[in-house]
Amino acid sequence: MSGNNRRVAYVAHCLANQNAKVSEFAKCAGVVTPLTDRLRAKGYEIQQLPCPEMSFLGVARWWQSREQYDTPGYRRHCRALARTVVDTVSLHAEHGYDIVIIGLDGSPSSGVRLTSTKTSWGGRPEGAVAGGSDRISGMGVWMTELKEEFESRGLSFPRATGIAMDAQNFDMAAAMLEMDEFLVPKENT
Amino acid sequence: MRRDDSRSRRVAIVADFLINPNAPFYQSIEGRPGPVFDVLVEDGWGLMKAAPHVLKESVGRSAAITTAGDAADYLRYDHVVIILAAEGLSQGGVWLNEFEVAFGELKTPMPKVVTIGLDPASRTADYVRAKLAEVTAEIAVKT
Repeated sequence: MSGNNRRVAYVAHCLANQNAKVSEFAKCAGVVTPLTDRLRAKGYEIQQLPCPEMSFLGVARWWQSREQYDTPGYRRHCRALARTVVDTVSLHAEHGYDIVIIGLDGSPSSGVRLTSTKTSWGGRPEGAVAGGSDRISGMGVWMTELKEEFESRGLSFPRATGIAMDAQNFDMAAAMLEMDEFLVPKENT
Repeated sequence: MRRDDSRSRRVAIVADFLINPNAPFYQSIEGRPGPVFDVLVEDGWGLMKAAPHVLKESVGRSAAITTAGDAADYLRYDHVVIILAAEGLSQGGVWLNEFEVAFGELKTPMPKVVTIGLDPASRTADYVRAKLAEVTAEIAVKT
């Protein structure tokens, strides 16, 4: 196999493990197969990013907005995880892989193109029950720290996109059509 | 209050080689696994994929510490957690030694380990399911 057709996708943790989702957001038992089926059919190996929310606050955590996660302590936690990820990415880079990152758009941590916002959230979590957070352009805290770890080593952040699975009006078929376009190897774009 | 959704509450820590056996850095390994990924997906397992076992020990250790922490939390909330290792690979291809230490430091029992064979007879979905059933039955008896 030549270096040109080696492909690897680093996917947000929950895309391979819905057990990591905050309560009520798991859409299937374990692996999000519309994505993984596509990746494998197109020759991508699958690597899994850690879930910083899971390792920081556990499976019983509350819903939170990006503002609530955006603390020095959480950023330090994300940066520590990012070091291990970039060490692993280096293995694939050394072997000539086309590397992509697939996050979870709308997530306060794993959003790539969209993240969440709700500056009023805090204290008793009644606000989260009454209504969800809003979406704004930009990366979640985890993706921001991951990108900065790449850049601090003089490496480019890989091509990245996200799937907005937590959105109320999420359309998997439309998201996968968009994914098909994204997954075209960069040398062919 | 945590509310029900579609999650399975079953999680498998899996050797990278069992998911990505055709990676070039695994070329020297003679055997190949059966359809481990397909079986785990079809049977509703969530995956916690371990770091490739060819990485530096410090990287594997760091990843194992994070994964063990997640797993300990899953166990605390009554999930089933298992480890899938590959026969004949260093540390089962899944950093077993590092997991032993990490779970020990968390004072959490090491999850049951399923070792998947790499010989031709082991390359069927039935074989993989039978191996998984060995440990899940054992876990069910204990609980």
